[in-house]
Amino acid sequence: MKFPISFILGFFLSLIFFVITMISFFWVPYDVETLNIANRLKEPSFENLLGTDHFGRDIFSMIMIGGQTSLSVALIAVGLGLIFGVPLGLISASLRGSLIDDIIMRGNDLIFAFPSLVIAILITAVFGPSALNAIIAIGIFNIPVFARVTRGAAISIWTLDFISSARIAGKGSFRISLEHILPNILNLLIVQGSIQFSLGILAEAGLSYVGLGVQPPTPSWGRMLADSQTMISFAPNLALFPGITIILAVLGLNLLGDGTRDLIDPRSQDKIK
Amino acid sequence: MKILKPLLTILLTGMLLSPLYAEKNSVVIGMQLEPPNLDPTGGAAAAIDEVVYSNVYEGLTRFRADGSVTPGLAKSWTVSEDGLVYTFKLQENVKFHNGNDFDASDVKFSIDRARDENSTNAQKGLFKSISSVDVVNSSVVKITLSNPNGGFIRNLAWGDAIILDPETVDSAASEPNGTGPFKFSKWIKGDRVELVKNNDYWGEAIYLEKASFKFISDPTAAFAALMAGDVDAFPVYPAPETLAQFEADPNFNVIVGSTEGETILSTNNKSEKLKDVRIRKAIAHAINRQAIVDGAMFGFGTPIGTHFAPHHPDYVDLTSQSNYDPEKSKALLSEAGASAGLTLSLKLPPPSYARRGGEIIASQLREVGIETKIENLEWAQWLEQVFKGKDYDLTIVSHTEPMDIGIYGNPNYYFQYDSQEFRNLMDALNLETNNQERSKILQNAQKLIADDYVNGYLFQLAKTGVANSKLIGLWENSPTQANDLTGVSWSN
Repeated sequence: MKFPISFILGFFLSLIFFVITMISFFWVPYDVETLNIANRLKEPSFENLLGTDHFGRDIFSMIMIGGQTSLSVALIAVGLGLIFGVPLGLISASLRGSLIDDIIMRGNDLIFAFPSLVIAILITAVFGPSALNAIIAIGIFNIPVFARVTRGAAISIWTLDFISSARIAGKGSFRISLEHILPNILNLLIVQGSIQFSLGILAEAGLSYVGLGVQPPTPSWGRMLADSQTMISFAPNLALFPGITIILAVLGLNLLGDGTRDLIDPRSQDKIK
Repeated sequence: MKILKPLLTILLTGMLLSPLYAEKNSVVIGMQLEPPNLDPTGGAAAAIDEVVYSNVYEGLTRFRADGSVTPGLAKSWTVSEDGLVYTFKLQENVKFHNGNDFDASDVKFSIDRARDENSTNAQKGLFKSISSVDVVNSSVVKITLSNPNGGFIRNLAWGDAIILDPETVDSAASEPNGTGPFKFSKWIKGDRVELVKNNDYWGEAIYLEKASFKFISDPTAAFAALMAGDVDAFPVYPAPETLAQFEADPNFNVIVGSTEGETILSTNNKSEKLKDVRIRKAIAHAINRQAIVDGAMFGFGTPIGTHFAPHHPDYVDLTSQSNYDPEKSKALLSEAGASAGLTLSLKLPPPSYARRGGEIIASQLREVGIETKIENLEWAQWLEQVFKGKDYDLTIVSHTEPMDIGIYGNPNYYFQYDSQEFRNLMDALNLETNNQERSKILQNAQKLIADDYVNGYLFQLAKTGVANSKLIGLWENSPTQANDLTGVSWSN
């Protein structure tokens, strides 16, 4: 089996991101909630791998802990999308053409019609900035994405012969959806999940950047960027490192998603060869 | 034809170069906040005065750069023996920008309007002692007080006491019509206010032909605007971290002065968790002021121990009374029965002193076992929740009004400090005209609020401004919220 290059690259980038974040749950080089003003704005060195920020906090430690925020917000948001979106898509597909299908899909269109980040800002602005509200805001926009992907893929499976056999064997729509459709579209959902996951990280960073994500002192990549932008002219490492981290994490997960699709979809594998 | 070409070249070159030689007579001033309106008698926002004070509008008296009060529209005045009757002789031949004559009736109108029961003036306290305003003749006004007020002449210098034209008062919020050296020209909402020279100005002629106030709320954009020369000066520059860079650049002057801005950790004295003075005292001892000045303001600011400006002669240095002593703080907390942990809300408005200072204070309070829940608010939310709603435990804000210790006498003010003793002091101060006695009362008032640990007193906001090094005559200090441009000019 030949692994596409995007898969390998994405896999390793994502792996680094996960490993570093997991380590941060148990150990970070420095406590990021204690400020040490005397030690501020240090350049990268062996003591502070990526330097220190304007409060004397270790930037590397902050990025590590910021990963926790990104990871948990994006993960739960994707989870929300899966939990609500997939069943909706399955119901829609099994009742395709009916009124319920119409209601579900037009409801999806309605949410799709709004620019997601703007609505996320609206939600957090109304209910107050917090990690929970950021999760909800980002999660809501994952629902229609998964509902559509699920419906589209499910409908194509519904037309296959083995589904008809299952029908003849006396299985109802519910059991067919659960036992035959879902396992057959799972790989697609995994691919979509990893892409949505990277978008979730980006959205979380965006919300934190405008001050609507997790609140200080909990570090978050987006807020690190926002805090450092006035200092970019004399302390570029403050903005550079969180920025690079966001890029690499998002890039890695996107490549992983693309690579996985190439891997499991035989038609696109042909193209690579 | 041969001669035409060189001639044309010379002519064109001359045309191209001429703007370089033309004397620059306009200025663009950067401000972080846009004023909500342009009527200083109809709003509390500092940004209003920062545009119009002494530029468009004038009062009977006015603040100067050094904080002294000099005659404005009043040429001179006399005070009766008992200190109750002030007779002002007004400047003559003064016209409003719309051509209307200024006379004593305008003074009576403006002051009566400000002290009216239904007036929306943000500082009605300034006029509290007035019992009547009478027109003697067109250039003499008599103001009678109900009790002697040693600070009365100073009160009249505030932006809230400027003189308006009764005819245009309804449009004052959007089209100011004053007597000052600049006329209002236009206001492009969200961008800038433009003023032009008033050629009929009664007083000393000014240098500038045109002045614009450009509103740039983002500190990064402010930095870029100065660097690019889009803005000539930013008198209250919002990003202290970049000042070192401007200092090193010969094209810019960094102006570091004092302001009237006492930056305090405002404390809700009626909050269940903060009612106990021992808790507030514990908070005061948990705070390391110098770390806040260094961390949030990059070293610009003077630590204070009470609500009073350190450059004021009556200031008492009480910083050692609430020195940084985490052990003492912990002891006080356990004494008050709060050692098990206390969680306080800390609501922060947008300025960097609050946002950054808040993170530092949260970390310092955590050292002594007080957890804080930081919430970053926009100004509108802050005014609604904290200032009006009093729904907060702690907040950080700079009180930039001059001599504003009197706010502690109002039990409904947002920190809800209710002390009869303090109110008695303020009443005594208002009646006292002897300067020595006044300063004694003021000092006692400073000590009282420090003893009651009403708020956490952090530092006096420094006025850190950046200006083109060729621009001269800007105010170094901020005795009041103003950008007085009357003395500003360009050097060659």
